[in-house]
Amino acid sequence: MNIQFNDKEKKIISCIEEITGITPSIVKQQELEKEQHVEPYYIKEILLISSSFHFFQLEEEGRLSFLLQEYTASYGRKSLPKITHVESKEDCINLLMNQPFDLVIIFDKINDIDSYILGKQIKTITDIPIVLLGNSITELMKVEEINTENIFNKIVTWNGDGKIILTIIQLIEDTVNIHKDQQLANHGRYVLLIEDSIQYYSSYLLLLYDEIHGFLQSMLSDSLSEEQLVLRLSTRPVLLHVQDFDAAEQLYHTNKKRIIGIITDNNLDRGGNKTSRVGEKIAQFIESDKLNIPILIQSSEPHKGNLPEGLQLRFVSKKEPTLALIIKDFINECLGPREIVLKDSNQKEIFRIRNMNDLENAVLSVNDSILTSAIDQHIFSRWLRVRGEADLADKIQSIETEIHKADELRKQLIDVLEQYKYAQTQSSVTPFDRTSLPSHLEINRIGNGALGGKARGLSFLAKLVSKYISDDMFPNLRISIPRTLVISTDIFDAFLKQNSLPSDELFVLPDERIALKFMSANLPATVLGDLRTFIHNTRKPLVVRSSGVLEDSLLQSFAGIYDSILLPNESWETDFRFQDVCNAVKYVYASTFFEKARTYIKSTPKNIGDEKMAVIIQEVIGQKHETFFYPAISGVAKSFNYYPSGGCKQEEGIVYLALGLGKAIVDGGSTFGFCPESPTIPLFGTPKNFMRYAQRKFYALNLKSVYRIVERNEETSYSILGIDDARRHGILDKIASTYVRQDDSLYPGIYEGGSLVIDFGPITQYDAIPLAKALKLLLRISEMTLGYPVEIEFALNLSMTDSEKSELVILQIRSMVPPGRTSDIVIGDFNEDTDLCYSENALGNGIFDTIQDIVYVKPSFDMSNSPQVVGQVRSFNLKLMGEKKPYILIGPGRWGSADHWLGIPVIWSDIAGVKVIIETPFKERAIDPSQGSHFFHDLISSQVGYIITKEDKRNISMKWLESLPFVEEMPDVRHVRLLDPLEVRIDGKQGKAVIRLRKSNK
Amino acid sequence: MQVKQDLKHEKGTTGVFRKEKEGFNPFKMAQQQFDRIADHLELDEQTRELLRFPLREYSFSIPIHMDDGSMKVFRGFRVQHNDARGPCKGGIRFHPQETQDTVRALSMWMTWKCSVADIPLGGGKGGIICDPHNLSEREQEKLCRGWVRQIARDIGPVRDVPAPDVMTSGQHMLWIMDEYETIMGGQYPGLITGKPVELGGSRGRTEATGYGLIYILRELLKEMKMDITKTTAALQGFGNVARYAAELFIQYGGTIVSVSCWDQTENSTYCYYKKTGINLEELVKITDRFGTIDKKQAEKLGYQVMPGDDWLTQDVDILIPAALEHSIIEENVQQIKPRVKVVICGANGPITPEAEDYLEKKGVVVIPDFLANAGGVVCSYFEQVQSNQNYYWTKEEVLGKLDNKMTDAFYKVWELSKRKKVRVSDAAYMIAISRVAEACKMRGWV
Repeated sequence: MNIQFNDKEKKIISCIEEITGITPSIVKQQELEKEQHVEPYYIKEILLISSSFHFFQLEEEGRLSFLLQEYTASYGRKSLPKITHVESKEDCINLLMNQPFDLVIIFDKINDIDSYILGKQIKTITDIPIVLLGNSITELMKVEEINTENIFNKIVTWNGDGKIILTIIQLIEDTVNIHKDQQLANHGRYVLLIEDSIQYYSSYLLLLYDEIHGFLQSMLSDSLSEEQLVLRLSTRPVLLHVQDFDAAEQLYHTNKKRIIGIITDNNLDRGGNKTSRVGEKIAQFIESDKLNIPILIQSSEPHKGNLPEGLQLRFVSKKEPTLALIIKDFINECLGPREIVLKDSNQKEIFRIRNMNDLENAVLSVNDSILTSAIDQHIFSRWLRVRGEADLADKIQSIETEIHKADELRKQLIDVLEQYKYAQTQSSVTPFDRTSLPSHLEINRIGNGALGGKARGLSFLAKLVSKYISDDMFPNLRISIPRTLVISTDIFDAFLKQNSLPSDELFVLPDERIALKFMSANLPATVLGDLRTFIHNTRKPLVVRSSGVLEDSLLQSFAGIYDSILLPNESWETDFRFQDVCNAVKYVYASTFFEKARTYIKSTPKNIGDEKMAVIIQEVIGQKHETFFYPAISGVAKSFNYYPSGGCKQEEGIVYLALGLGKAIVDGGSTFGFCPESPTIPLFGTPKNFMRYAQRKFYALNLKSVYRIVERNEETSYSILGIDDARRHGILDKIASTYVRQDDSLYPGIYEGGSLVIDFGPITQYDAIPLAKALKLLLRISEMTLGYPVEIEFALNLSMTDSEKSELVILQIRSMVPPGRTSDIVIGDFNEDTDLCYSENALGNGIFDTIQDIVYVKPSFDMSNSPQVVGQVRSFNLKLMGEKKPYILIGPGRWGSADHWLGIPVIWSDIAGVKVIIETPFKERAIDPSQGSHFFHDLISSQVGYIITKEDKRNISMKWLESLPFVEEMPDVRHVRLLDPLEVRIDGKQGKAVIRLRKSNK
Repeated sequence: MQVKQDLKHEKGTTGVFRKEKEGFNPFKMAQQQFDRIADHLELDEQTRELLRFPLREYSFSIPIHMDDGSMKVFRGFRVQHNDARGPCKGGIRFHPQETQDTVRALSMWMTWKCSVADIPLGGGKGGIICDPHNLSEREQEKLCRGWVRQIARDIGPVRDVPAPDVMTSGQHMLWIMDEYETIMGGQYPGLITGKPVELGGSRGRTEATGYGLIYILRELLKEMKMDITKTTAALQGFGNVARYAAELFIQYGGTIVSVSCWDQTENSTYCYYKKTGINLEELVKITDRFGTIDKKQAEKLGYQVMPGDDWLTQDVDILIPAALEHSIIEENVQQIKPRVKVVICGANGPITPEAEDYLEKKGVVVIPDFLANAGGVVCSYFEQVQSNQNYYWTKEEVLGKLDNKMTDAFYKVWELSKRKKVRVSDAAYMIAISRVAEACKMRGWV
């Protein structure tokens, strides 16, 4: 199979080979990536000039509106072509001068209007195609004779069937699109009609269009996602029509590889240009090109001479009474089989295959002889090929050629079809189907609206994994995504509309009241049945998360702004579980209007009304242990590390791991970090140093908890367990190391006579699970595909037996805002005279020279007071945001830490107006940079500088701060303002920062 | 099946029931339908004999002191067709011209309806011969209470559960319930359904029949590989069933091009048509409490007003008769456009067997009334369950369950129809009757 890869794909493939030693067999899918896909040419606005009677006929008998709707649906168009009808020449000209149109259709013999003169006049205004329709062939032929300047692109007879309009639209579009639409140009299947007689081609066009349309319907009869639809449509049959030999010749030579059939008149006479034996000439082209294109030659005159042999060539007289039938049969042969009918030896129909499901069922159920007979005739591959599934057709064709034993055939076919199905479902978001059981890991949707940022991220991940990663790359590790249901944004819209939300009063209510209002409303009926079925079939704990349109669209950060709900989903009663999920969905909807969200959106260019919420319902990854549920490992992997250490470079990224649920990481608790490029190298001091800060407790979901969403009693849902519990559950053997006091050494694995340390030693040191390699691969190929650094959230279930695989499940992907643009920020060495503060441990990049305000925590502050500080800081923030004054925030410890003994436990909206944060030292302890992931994420995407200082002369001087006149003071926090702005410089690449005084401030 | 509403009425009553109109006997028709399916199922003679007739029929007198001091005796009745699968279920109607055979037929159809929806209830029907237009509210209350006093021993939450029907309402049900509770000395909200939500009614009941119809339509269209967002429909009617069906159909993305209604002032029916699809909210705003759409307002809003019968001739994919019985008959079925692929019956008995035969030959799928409009009785069942538990569900729970139940019912019927190569209505009857027959056998009745 000859697959073309672009540069990016080649790089990704070689990266995969480098890391895994395996060359991936990639299912080539044409991606709808923005830089590649060009919107095809569509006729959107049509101007129709006719008498009102003709228009009425077209609408009523011609069923024009209905046909247009159906036509739009078949070809994947987003909107109907719009027809504007006028009766007079003046109206026509007026409209054309003031409005853009794509096509003009003129009905011949409108009162006293001369169509040709009108056409000429139109051509002086615009160059769009003009088509002439008429009842009288004689009259039309007269017009054709004088149409030497090609005023009319087409002259067609009309018998009252509105389909002629559709045929015209499609013809004109396709003539353009075979050049414009790359996909159609590369994969479409062309039928060429060469005929100059108005009478004949008018009827042939309708006939051929009908057959092609019918064929297209059968091609699209599977349940397809949008990408699959586009893929199939790119291989659709295309009808092209020319009237003279020169045009035919040119069309043939340009597109010969794509032509599947030619119907031609043997004698053409256009504009005085006569050509005879056209069919034979074309046949000779085909012969010399050694192509296998069927050709049907028709003529009013009987054939003389010999036709070239060895070609699929037929001759038919135009006088033949069954001409229409012959043409119909011919075109259907060219198009290929719409369905497969499997018959037994008595020619009795056993099975009819119309779509992929039928194919699968047939392979499973028909008897051996029927199966082998079908295989010998290559029926399946041929059918798949004309259906637009070229890759699958190739695979099946090789099975058809190589394997002949029925058992083996069946097995291989099923394997291939399963893989195809797996790849299809993994790579796209498909409508939720109650009748199919969840046999694959897939993303399903309810609703027809947008999916929101998180869901798009998941879909991207799914595509990535299915395209590039195969099972054999990591022998005892499977990579997947969690079972996910997305309720799309149109359900959110319907919910708000149906319940008259939001009302004005909502915005002054506290969050709990908003939540109650939402939860007492009802979800739209369109979603309830599917949701209930989903819940009925799902017994694992669920997380219900937001997926806002403005959120996490890989590029923008709304992380942690909307609420997620974790549901034990433990009750035996479907109704309780269903109601819990309904309430959770409504709660997530409500969180769009919570104060946190409203404040946050203010700091972005968006408005609250711009936000549309989709909701993701995902199975929580983990395993059940007693009455608890948790994954063995949760983690966050970043492809760029802002705190490189241990000799690892920033570009090599970093991974943070925790035992149990990922809440430990999100809340900035104790975690273990390693570099995926060099997992054995300790990053935070020696392993024994790390022991002091290693995890002792972990989070698990308490399945017996009674979770009341509005009370937000998360504490009830989560249980905090200890290492002994994990040991008892039997999951520590790959996660813990044993510290043996006598040896003063740490041994990866569990041994008697020592104390356990959660340092993931067996994984990092002994590669017990190829986690580092898998994460490295995922980070690298995600970054390559997207073009910027990424952060991936994941969870790992360990296998309990040797025969099972462990499962690495990717939960989310986000962008990390690209580190520093250029390195024109030059920061030299520390200059005592000019530098107020200097650090070699800084996050962010840029020059900030408009800041005059500083908010700092007073030296008298005690860490036990840190929760109180939050309120004081928040009020200064509000004030300064109101005054539109950016500020520097200075304080000890880990800003944003959930543990108030380690730092001030602010959340982002408390300090959303800050521009630079200086973290001053707090007790000599190794700073494990806060993995309050959300906090840091927002910090990075808000381009806030984060400077960590040491207890040395380069630290910002408290004495100097205290000497400044204060604007306002609270018990622990003070706000001061300088006369002139400070200059803050941060070099993200070097990780250096300096704050300088201006002379007047010193 | 509804009795044709004859506008003329008689004061007072004589005898138990009126005699049947010449020619048409609904009970005979119901029995004939049954016999045909029983043949298909090869039911034995005893079972047929048991199921062809109601198990029990009660008729009794209700003496009432009228407001003007006079005394009148009304006739009340209750027919319990079969309760092998569970307590009987069926409406109580007020009608001056009720007939015995109509009520028997109706009670039989209730048995099949409950059975095909797979709810554990049997079939019943009953009422009082009277014209409530001629009765004051107090008199109606007395009548309801009088009815209960006569039949209290033979109805009840575990016996026979009535509901509103022609010319009865939630208020009537509450009087009935109240009287029953007084007699029985306890709270029995599960006696009756159709109660207001505040006093034990189920949420979602208003929408249930209309929504239930669309759940079935949705699944049918999936099976027929038709995209609901690209289909159009014409509705006969604009009452409760029609409105909620229209609402949900539109929410799913379908287009309703016309609805029809009875015009009280003009004594005629009209059809309101808009090619691009009706706007339900704006039409509801101009509809009065009798269900009449204001013609002039509708025209102003751009609707084309046509004779009521024109609903049938619309060029759409789906026809939904949701008003009268016998609206699609042999004489007019040929006017149905070739584009129509589905006829789904929201009303009771809207298609005659001859018309259905014709449609079947044309390849049109007909979903019978007792399957399509079973949403109402399913929701009544939910109300009964909630009342008996004294534990009431959220609307989401009700509608979610309703969706799943209707979907299941449809798929069982559809699967049988495909497997046995019979029309959908026959498949529905086969399932319904065989379930009841099985229940009778298991109980040892036959």
